[in-house]
Amino acid sequence: MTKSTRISRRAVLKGVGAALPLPFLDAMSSSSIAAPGSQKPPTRFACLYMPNGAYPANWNIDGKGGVDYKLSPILKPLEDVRDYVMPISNLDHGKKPTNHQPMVNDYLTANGNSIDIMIANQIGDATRYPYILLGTEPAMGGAKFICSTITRQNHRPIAPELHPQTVFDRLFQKSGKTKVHKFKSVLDVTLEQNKALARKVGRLDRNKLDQYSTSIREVETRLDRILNPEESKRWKSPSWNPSSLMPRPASIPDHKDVHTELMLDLMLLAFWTDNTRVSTMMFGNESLNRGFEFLDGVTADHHVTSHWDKKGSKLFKQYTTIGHWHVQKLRSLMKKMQTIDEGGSTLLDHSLILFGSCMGDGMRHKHNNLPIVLAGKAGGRFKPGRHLVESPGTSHDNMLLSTLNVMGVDAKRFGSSTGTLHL
Amino acid sequence: MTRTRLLFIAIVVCAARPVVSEERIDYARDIRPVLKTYCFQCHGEAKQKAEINLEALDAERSFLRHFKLWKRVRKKLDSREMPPEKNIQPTDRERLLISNWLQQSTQNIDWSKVKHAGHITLPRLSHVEYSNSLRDLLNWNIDLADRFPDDVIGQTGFSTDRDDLAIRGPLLERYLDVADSVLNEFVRSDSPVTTTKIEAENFKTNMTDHPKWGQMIGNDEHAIHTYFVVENSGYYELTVRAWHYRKSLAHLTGMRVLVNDMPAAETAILATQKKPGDYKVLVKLSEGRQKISIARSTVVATEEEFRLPRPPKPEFTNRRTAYDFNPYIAAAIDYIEIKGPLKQLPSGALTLTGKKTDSTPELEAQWQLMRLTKTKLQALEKVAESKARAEGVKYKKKNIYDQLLESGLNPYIVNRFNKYYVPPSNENDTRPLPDKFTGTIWLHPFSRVKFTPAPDSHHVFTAKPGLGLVSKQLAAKIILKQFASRAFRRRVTDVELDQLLGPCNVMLKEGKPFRSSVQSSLLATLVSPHFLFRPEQGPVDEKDHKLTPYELASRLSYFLWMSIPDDELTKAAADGRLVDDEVLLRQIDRMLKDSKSTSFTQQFPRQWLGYYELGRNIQPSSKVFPEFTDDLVHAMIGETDTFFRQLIIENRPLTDLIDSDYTYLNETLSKHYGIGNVHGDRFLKVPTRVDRGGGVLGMASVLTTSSSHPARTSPVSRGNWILLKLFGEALPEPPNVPPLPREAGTATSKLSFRESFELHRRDPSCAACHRRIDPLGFGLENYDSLGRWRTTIGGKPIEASGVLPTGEAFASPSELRAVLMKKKDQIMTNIIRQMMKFALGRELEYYDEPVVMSILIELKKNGYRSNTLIRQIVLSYPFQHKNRSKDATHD
Repeated sequence: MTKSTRISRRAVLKGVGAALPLPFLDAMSSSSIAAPGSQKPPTRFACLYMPNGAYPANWNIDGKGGVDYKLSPILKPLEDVRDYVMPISNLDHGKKPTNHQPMVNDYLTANGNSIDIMIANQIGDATRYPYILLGTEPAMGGAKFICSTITRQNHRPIAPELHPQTVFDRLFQKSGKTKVHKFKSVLDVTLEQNKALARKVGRLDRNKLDQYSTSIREVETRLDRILNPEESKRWKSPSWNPSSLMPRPASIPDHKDVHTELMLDLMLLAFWTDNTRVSTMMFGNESLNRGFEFLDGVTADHHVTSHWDKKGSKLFKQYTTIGHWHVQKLRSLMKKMQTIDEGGSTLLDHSLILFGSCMGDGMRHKHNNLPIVLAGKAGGRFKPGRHLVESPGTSHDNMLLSTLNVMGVDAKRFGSSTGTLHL
Repeated sequence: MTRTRLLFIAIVVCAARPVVSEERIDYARDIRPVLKTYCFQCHGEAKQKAEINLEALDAERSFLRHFKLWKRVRKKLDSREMPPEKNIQPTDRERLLISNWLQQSTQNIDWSKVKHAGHITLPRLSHVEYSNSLRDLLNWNIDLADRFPDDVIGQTGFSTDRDDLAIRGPLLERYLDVADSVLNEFVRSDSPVTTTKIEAENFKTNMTDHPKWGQMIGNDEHAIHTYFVVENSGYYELTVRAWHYRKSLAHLTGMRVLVNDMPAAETAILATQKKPGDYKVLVKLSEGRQKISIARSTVVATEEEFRLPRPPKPEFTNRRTAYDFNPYIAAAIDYIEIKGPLKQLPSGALTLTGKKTDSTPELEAQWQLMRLTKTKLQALEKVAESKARAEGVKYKKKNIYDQLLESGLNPYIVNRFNKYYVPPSNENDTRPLPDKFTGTIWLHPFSRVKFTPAPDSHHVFTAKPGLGLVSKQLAAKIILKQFASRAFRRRVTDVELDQLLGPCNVMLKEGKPFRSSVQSSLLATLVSPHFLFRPEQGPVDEKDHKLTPYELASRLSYFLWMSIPDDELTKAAADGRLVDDEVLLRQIDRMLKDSKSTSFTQQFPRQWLGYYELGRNIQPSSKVFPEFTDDLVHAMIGETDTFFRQLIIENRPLTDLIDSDYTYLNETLSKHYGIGNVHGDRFLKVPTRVDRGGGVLGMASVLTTSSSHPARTSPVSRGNWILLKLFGEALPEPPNVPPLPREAGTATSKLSFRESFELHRRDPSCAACHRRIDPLGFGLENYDSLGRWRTTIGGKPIEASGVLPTGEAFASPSELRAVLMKKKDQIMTNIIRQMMKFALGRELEYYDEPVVMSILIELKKNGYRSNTLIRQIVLSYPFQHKNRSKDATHD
């Protein structure tokens, strides 16, 4: 065989890769062709949830707060984005250490609404979707359903979307005008029938029909916006170029790492194209016996490793490795956000990311010293690049209140907050 | 005291938890002082936190009225949520005392005074119900459940829990989109099959044309492509006329057909210009603009393919061929043809139903190839990198193919890129090309497509305008009246009908075609609250009311079919016969025999026993159990599904769930268990082996689901599973679990698995619960994590013996089953509760207790026959009545 008959393996493989998801990461740095938007880039809120806490000895940061601090082993991946992160020490959930359900239930929530929903209520009306919820693990049954979701609206959990394909379609499916008009006339009927029905049912059922009415109006608003794009407050990123779009994902990747990256890419796309400004991603379900075997040295599942305290067992090593993986995903999202130009500054400059878990040490389901990192600059309203040390026992709700305030929600109190963070 | 009450109390007593003291507990003497010490300061006259004032309650006289509150008190105490941590805590004895008093008082309630229909929160259809309802409305075999996010599994443990079924957030949009796309296909199913031919010269490319040969075909990025507007969604036959004219010694020219940039099929091209090939693939296309591309691909061929004669020299008469830019291999495309939407599957077409049996190694490899994304490669690289770092060696970018092999990728793919097989040359061969390489060649589609024959829309479009003096408006009205009545499960009112016809009439006025105008009103019906919910209206008071016959038919049909009532059931409701119990019972029998009841016979046991989580959230370690494949999951689920379905259809005793001498196996499971000699995918009835036993506790689905540890069996979680799922008893979750030593249960451990557990259980705070659950779980130690029988573990014999706190001893799984059989009334009580919750879609309240007990009596009378349970639930008071209020008002 002569040398030239041999097709370069790389070329063949590149061919394969191109037909399959994610060449858009390469296209991301491509120069802009679209005219820059006239408005200022909006501020986005991302919430990344890590279940089962983190190994305290490798999470906790030694020493005092401030700029000169040393990142702990689990936080190590954040070294090259340290100017954009602020780990917070000593936040306390205040809940008695019981099982996972009540702890995860209140992680983002007070009085029935989680902060992502509250923020979406404040800033979500400008975009096609007020919020987008993402996840990689299917909902768990029964009482454990709570462990599969952290977002709450009127006390009800809202399940995240697992199918990358569905998320993709929601973001990029085009609706022709005929279809929009049809949907609008159909929804008029629906609203009318819903109102009539609501008058006939009892108090307990009316609530559900009210929710349906709200839903109908939300969809109508969105349809109107498609018909009148000039009225849209949507931000057009100067760096967005339709050719940056990845192909439609085919199915749920079978590798958790790949699935997670794909969902984070979709979050990024949703922010970039201003399809939404609020997005929550659950890396996994709380208290779930599911493995991380793709990580080196990990044999047990996340939940089992979180109960690491046994003489002779090396579970804390695995617990650390899994925590480390989660922080790597945070970094990965931040790095990608940094590559997106929004007219002199980057998407990361205009985002606020909340990364954390509902428990401190998973071993005893500790409610104190929660692993929490805030990242991004929220359009200048948030100054990262330091380690914030609050006094021990500071309410976790203080942090949530500060987050709400940074994102423009004018709240004075949240849950059991005693004030805001010392930002 | 009535007879029912006597029996009832007798049953409650035997179902009760062990009571420490048999002595009667007196509220004033024993309980009130304890509450005063620990509770009244926050929940008393001085303060009423959470608006609860326990001090004001007269527990002696009005226990029943505050039954729910007392139940809550017990729950809070048992879970140690109350009193708050910072307050002084009652002793364990005091907690138990209150618990026992509450139980004693519950037993003393005169249940004959309690009657209440309960309130079912406005029932929204679950996604399974929605999908089934649409299937039956359109009489078209579609499955839409996976187009929605999972329904919340509510407090009842079932996805039919009406409390948690609402329409919030983005769900309405999904309903609109799904219904619209289904209707598009349905309404236009009468559209003619069209064939569109697109010449290769009309394809676009981003590569420079060759002056002589025309367009070049590049790889995926440089594929030639064209756009095609699909008027009507459906299945299409995509044909590519192609031939090859040059091949190398090592490679064959191939092409990959892509639809919207996703690969649809791939093939080598061996046909020649004189005998060209029509390469066909079945694709599903949705309405709108579709991108169709053809990309070059290189195929390593079989020896037979290489031994084929060289193709003759081509004649390029015009610029309508596309060729591969590699000078050594070349093929040409003449045109493509797109034919559809297909009404029937073309003969010879290859489809994939998604089942393993359709698969070939090559196909498996193709699927894996599709999933082989760039990020996946990057991820694999990262893994390799971190591995190198951990080992302290410098990471060298390894040959990617080695990594692929290491990652478990099918060697077929790897070989395709890596190993170049060079067969002997055949320069002067002039044999003709065998027929199988030319003419029509059907390709395997890349994605699993299941061909659904086009629907027949005549039963919906019951009227046609123009016949006689029927106007378009009148025809639309006739169609909608029938459709909406079926969808709303009652007669649609004139007002509603006028509303629904609104969109249609507007479109007709605009001069739009009749069918698509009607379609908009069909869509309005499918997002109407009357369809998506099942409202049960009634007088505005808060009293019990009997369901209307239509409402009863609807409840019945969503219980047994999880779908709309059919014509026969609707007719029985319409002429009022359904209120007759005899008629009702006949309908139940008929409905159970119908294959539509499969939804119920699958969903109920899957959700009750939890095995729907297999392969979802339950994933045993792939390192320890590589044999846990999709195929095995499918078989495990199938065994229990089939067992339960036959239990219902054959009206067998429910006690078969505890123990039976038969089960249902397919080939996979038969091999897995080493029982029987079943061949094929079908589940056949097989006698169980004596040692291994039957019932659900002998099924791999349950044994795998209940054992939560990914790498070994977990007797604790299995024991807990038995208490929870079979007895319906939820233990409080321990606040903290010190784990077992890592090596427990492995060969290197000094202690046996069981001994390490005994050690673990010495802690008195753990012992209270563990003495109840551990023996049950250890009784199943003969089954490994995937439910296979074993007699040793880590070289030591299995000790499957145990003694329950109530005294029963057993030494093997079969003896454990015998013990459970003795407690069958407790288990049956739980099954009644579970099925009532499933059927009603609400949690059971205290006023449902008498119903549960009377059903148990009927069950015992009828030898625990499964149909008795279903009949009794349907005949029961709460199933046939409704109330606007959850709470009973009585003293």
